Amino acid sequence: MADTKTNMKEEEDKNRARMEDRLENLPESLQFHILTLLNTKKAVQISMLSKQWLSIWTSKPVLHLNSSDFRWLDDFDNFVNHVLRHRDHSAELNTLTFTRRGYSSRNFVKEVLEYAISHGVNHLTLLIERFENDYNWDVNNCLHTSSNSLKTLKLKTQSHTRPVLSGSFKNLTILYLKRAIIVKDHEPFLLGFPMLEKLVLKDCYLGKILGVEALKLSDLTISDSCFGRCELTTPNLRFFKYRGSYFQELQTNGGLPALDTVVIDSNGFRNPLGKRLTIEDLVRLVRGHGNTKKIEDLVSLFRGLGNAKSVTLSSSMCPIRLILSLNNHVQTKYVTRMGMKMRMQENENENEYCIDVMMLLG
Amino acid sequence: MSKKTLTLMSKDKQLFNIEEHLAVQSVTIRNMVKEDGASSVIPLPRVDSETLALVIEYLNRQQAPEEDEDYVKKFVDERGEIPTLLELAQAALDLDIKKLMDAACMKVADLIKDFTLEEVREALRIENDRTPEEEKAIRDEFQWAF
Repeated sequence: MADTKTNMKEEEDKNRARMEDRLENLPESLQFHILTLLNTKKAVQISMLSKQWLSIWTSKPVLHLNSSDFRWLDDFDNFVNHVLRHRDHSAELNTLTFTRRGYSSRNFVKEVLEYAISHGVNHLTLLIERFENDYNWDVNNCLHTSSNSLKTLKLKTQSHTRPVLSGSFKNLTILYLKRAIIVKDHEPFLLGFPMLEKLVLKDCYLGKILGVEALKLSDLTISDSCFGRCELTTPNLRFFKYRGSYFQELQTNGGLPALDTVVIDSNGFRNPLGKRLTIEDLVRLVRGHGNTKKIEDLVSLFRGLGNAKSVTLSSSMCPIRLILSLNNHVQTKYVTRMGMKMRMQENENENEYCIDVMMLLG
Repeated sequence: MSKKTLTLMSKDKQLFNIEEHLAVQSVTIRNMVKEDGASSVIPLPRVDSETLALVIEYLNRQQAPEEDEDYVKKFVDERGEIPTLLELAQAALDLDIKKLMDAACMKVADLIKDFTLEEVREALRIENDRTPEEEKAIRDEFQWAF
């Protein structure tokens, strides 16, 4: 018993000695790295703890500014102003994320944006719940900025209409827009991104023609967005995900020779009967409820995506599922004709939709 | 063909064997091997034996590349003590094993994010080098950060 106690004490002493020994010498690069991983509020507070640490936060290349760290928005705004003013202006700024709940003034967001861009930020995320007066935004009062250093841009809002950003971003590789859009000459603008590799458009109003011209683009997601027609000049597109109630016309310049994976998720087909449908029910349904156009558009979409190696269809297309089980050899025929290899997911009937399309075509 | 083995020596002179193809996940060791073939013992004068044992355990993992991210996260999660994690982070920094260093630092950041400032001071061993007057002055100056 006494032995155990002694051992424990020895162990403790050893641990303490070990800790003291090493933590005295915690290298600055580690301190720095750990502070970089914390939100900016905490990092500033920790820097305050000693004279030696005080300058660390001012040269932190990563700023995470989040209003949820503050009870009152006024305090958050004040904090942001201080951080931008006191930060070491010659220090590299790699990443800035700015998250603000409530209504934000355009000018305030503009200040943050301009600070980030003028300091050569590489990765910028702006999550703005709403803008003041966002219903009357137009091209004349959009956020205008250009950057050659920006590589990742995420702009997300919950806005009613469309907060817009204009400018040129030559080295952008990842662009994520939610309820926001980049414009040029009053039109949504997704051309001239020579380095763009990944594009996500969510809940966006994209005008009559959505033209995407990005030679390096490999990953495209369009989700719940409004546009008339989609024109893709994306020879390196490998992954395409589409989600929405309607299937818009899809045109490609030069096809999509690199296309590998397609995921289509539709909530466009309603099943008013709320029961498993027979084929007759389904035909009546798609013809009778204005769904015929959707089917045609979907077929057009599939033609555009014809050489994908794998296509996954979401299970929300449930009425269609019933059809496949009717006739399995139709599936093979269809698959062969479209040159697609269907991937089974969740259940083996996942690809029934295609069969349906073919049957209606036939 | 037998696999080549390297011997690493900790600060407290304990020897650890590891297969060379696993050891070279450390950029530092890889460079040493490249330079002189590292036939003899590689001394790691800043890494104690307990930490080195952890590092070796990590380097010896047999994970598929796609599971590796989860593995390294779990690996540091299981060593949730801040002093151990800092030691591990420092060893990973010295040996240039980026994934391990990032994961250990991330875990430390995650643990201290809800700490009070005094708790952070203790955890990161930040010495208080101010007089009470200076302390008050800096608090007043940084009112905006609270």
